[in-house]
Amino acid sequence: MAEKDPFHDQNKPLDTKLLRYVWRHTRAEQIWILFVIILSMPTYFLVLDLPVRIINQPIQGRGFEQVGDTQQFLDISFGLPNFLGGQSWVLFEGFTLERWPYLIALSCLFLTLVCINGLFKFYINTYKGRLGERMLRRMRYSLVDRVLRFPIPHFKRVKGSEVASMVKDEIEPFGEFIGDAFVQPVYLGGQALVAFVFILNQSFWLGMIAVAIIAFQMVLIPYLRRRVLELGRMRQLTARLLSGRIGEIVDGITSVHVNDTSNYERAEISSRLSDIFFIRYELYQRKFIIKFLNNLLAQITPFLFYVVGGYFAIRGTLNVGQLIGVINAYKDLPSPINGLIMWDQKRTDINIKYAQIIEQFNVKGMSDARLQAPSLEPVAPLTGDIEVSNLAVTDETGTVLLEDADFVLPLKSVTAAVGPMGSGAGATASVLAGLINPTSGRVRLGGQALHDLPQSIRGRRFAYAGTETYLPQSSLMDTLLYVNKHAPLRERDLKALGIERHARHKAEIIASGNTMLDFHADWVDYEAMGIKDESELLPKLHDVLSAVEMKDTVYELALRQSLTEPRHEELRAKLLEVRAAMRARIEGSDLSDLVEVWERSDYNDHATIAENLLFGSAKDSSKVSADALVANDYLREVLREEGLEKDLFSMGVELAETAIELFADLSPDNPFFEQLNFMTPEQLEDYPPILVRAREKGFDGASESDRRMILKLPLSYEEQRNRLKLLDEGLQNRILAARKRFHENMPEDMAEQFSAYDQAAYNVNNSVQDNILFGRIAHGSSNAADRVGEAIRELLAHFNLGEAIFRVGLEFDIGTGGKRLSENQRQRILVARALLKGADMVFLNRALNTLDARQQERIVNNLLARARGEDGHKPFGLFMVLSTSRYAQKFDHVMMFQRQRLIAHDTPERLKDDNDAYAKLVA
Amino acid sequence: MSKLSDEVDLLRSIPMLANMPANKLKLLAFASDHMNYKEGDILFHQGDDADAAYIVVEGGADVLVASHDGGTPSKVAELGPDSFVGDMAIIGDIPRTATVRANSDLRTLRIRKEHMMDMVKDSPTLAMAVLQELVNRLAKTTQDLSEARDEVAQLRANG
Repeated sequence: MAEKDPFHDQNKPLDTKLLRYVWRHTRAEQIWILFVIILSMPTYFLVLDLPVRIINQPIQGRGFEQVGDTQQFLDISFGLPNFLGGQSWVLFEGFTLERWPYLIALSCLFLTLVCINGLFKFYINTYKGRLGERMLRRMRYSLVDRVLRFPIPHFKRVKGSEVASMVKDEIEPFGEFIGDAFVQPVYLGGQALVAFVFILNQSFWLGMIAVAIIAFQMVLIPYLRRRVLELGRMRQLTARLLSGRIGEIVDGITSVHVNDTSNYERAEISSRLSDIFFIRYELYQRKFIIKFLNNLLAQITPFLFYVVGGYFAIRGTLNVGQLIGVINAYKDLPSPINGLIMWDQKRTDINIKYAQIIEQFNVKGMSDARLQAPSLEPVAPLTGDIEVSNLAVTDETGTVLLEDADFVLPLKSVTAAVGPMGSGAGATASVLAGLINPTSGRVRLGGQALHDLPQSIRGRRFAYAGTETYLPQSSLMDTLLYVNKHAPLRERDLKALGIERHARHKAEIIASGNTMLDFHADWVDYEAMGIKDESELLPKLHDVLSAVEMKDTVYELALRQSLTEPRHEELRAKLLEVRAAMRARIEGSDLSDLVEVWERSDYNDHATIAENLLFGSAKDSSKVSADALVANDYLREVLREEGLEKDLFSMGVELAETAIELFADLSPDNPFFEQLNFMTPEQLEDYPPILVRAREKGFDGASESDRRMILKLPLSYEEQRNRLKLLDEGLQNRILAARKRFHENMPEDMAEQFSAYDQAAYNVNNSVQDNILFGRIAHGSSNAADRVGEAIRELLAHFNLGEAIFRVGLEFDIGTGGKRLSENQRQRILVARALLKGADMVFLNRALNTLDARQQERIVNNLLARARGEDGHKPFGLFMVLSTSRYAQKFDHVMMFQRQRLIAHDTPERLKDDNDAYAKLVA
Repeated sequence: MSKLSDEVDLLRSIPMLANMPANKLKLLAFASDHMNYKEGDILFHQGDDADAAYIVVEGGADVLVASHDGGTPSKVAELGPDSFVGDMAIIGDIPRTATVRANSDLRTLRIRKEHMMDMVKDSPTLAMAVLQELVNRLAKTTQDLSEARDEVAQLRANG
């Protein structure tokens, strides 16, 4: 018999009924919890029963009529009902106790039972909760597992935010329900049945009335609920569409702004919200009507009991005791019945939601889970040729992307594909890289169909980069290494990483059917990159980044980073040495004209008044913006005490006057505004009335808000830059005195945020460059920034910090979607990591099309040198769809595409001689 | 007002800007940067994209032009205080036609292209002045050319 296929469950479509899905995965647990509930019943019953006994016996004295009477405590006996003969057996005689000790004993027993009952409840509830959470985990996992196996063209129709909302939110209510899925109906049904049997036992006809009414309820309610279910489905769909639309607005926010369509978007959202509102409103109406009917029917039954039962009692066919018994028993019937109805309502509601979600995840053409099976073994390099015959590709709309392609592509060949957009060149690269499946024809590698190869082969031996440059948010380093994380290769010391793992970590993974692969292990495949281990990683990254001319960018990113992490401790100390060396180099050289170093006792002419006052920086730079500073009571107090407030105020008045004089008649987008560093074009309009009041009333008469508006202007003033001759030596000295005072008595909450400049201390709020320089680059000296940058680079090299700084650059957070890098940088990163992978064949599909022509040519040269194995690099095959045909001559082979067909495939020399169209292209 | 008055005076000494209204000159002064060079520093290279024009405040600079075949650049002119250099390239949006190198410690006032262009668009006086300057230079170039031709013709006749 064949062994059970381990991928069978993963490949099967998901169950379309939630209960079936739940039963399949939690059968044993559901039976166990039911058993525990039954086990808890006697205690529960006793907890209800004991108070009656306590009141009746020891308190009210039943059974203690005579002084000295005793009762048996903890006697255990069984008795048969009278109609079965009324025999009884005594298992345990119990203890004989008098009234007072009996009361104490019963009360203590009550307390014990309450505790046991509470523990039972605690156990049952946590067990059910855990069961639900496990199922939730399993469901979420298998949904994402499916997303990972969707055919790639399917993603054209899927909105990311909708999938996210399904996996995260829509599935959430299932957790609660799953714990009760089977227990609740059994439990409630049992209760209802007992009460019902009791009624039937008392009076058949009254019982029949109850049956009739319940039956009526069972028919009527589902009928009414049909519309409710329909509405529930609509509610879910509309809510999902809403979240999809909101996602689209966020992703496409630029087109909203450039087209002035924000109001169109508002209207659309409003219209969607309106749909949702009316669906929900009708849902409430219907739900409460059903509730009303339920209650009504529940009350009609006793009404009938009184009338019909009363009639029988008066006629004498039923005795009064029986009637009271029936009515009492009936009291216990509605709540389990209602519970059952509620359960059923929840079940159908959740079933619909479930079906709605599952439908989206049972996609046709999903790839076989077997192809994505994890493989811990290294994959041997591929050999042979890629043979393509009769290949045709059409997209899902039926548009032909490529037809009749026949060619052989040796794995080590260096081939350029040329042709305009949509000519079939790009489609060929996509098919070969496995992104789209051929519609007809064959693509074979070493005799095997390429599309049946597991992803562990294709994904490791092929590399691909296209025009699309979406990068998930992470550090630059992780972005690069992402391509070589195929399997957890080495365990890591989790304690050292500060990761705590729950004792049940593994058990819970198994219980919810998740993958056993450890996310926190070291996944990076260093061997594939051609290096031994982590110690050789940096030179390797340096190498691939220089191939795409990103090395200097990484270095510059590093200089702009701030080093806040504890792991940077050592580097920070080293950078202080660099700072000292920088200072020595500045002093006495012509660099001293280019940099003005921070000195506690000197005014820095190349910094603003605010910077000179603060002489330090804050963790959160918005706390030291001009707006925040004028609103800061402590700073204002310092200014007042130094008599600076009035001076700065009159300076502010002059600045406002100058700004109005020079800029008032310019439009806000005029390039001159870039030079106005103390005011924005929008603020300019606010100042004329403030200025009138300020002139009229002076500082003393001005309102606080006017004072702030005026005072914030000089804070951004920089004498060397603005040259308005507003700062004389006296004023500078008073600013220095204020600086001293400001540092002396700083309130605690501010001191926490703030670190003053200190020649001997690294300032974590500032960038690496600011820390090395510990000063300001002077305005008005030619090439100052370049020359200072060069000096910094030399010093870092001198201190052997090049590698450490490079590592800091790799820690740069690239932002959501990689947006903190420019598009052209993202393209270069994608090409760099295609090189890093150590693949046998690299496909580049117009992957450098946003670069300028000169840079593109240099990078193509680097790529070709590497592919051909020059300078000790491992050679690899290269298939490059060119965005500019000019470079085709440099390749060994050229494939020329036109109108979705391959029209020529030869060496560039022969093509140039034989093919006029090609000769024209590369001319 | 004394603020920016030095710069305004300097700008006014340039013939092309002499007739500009005071507030425009002041705006231009406010927006311009002081740029200092040491002897031998290059202000810009022949063939670079032009992003600014310079007014020499103090010191001097050499204007160097390389011949077409890429030979060593030769000095064609020398600039002293109050000369305006690089103006045509920023107005005409053409690459630098010459290299300018400081021949002593040099202080300049740097006027960005976008500011200059904004001024020209805004002020017919300035546009007219630019036109006049162009005509003058064209006349001078024409005259130089005809003199050069005469010289060439004479040399040929002699040779």
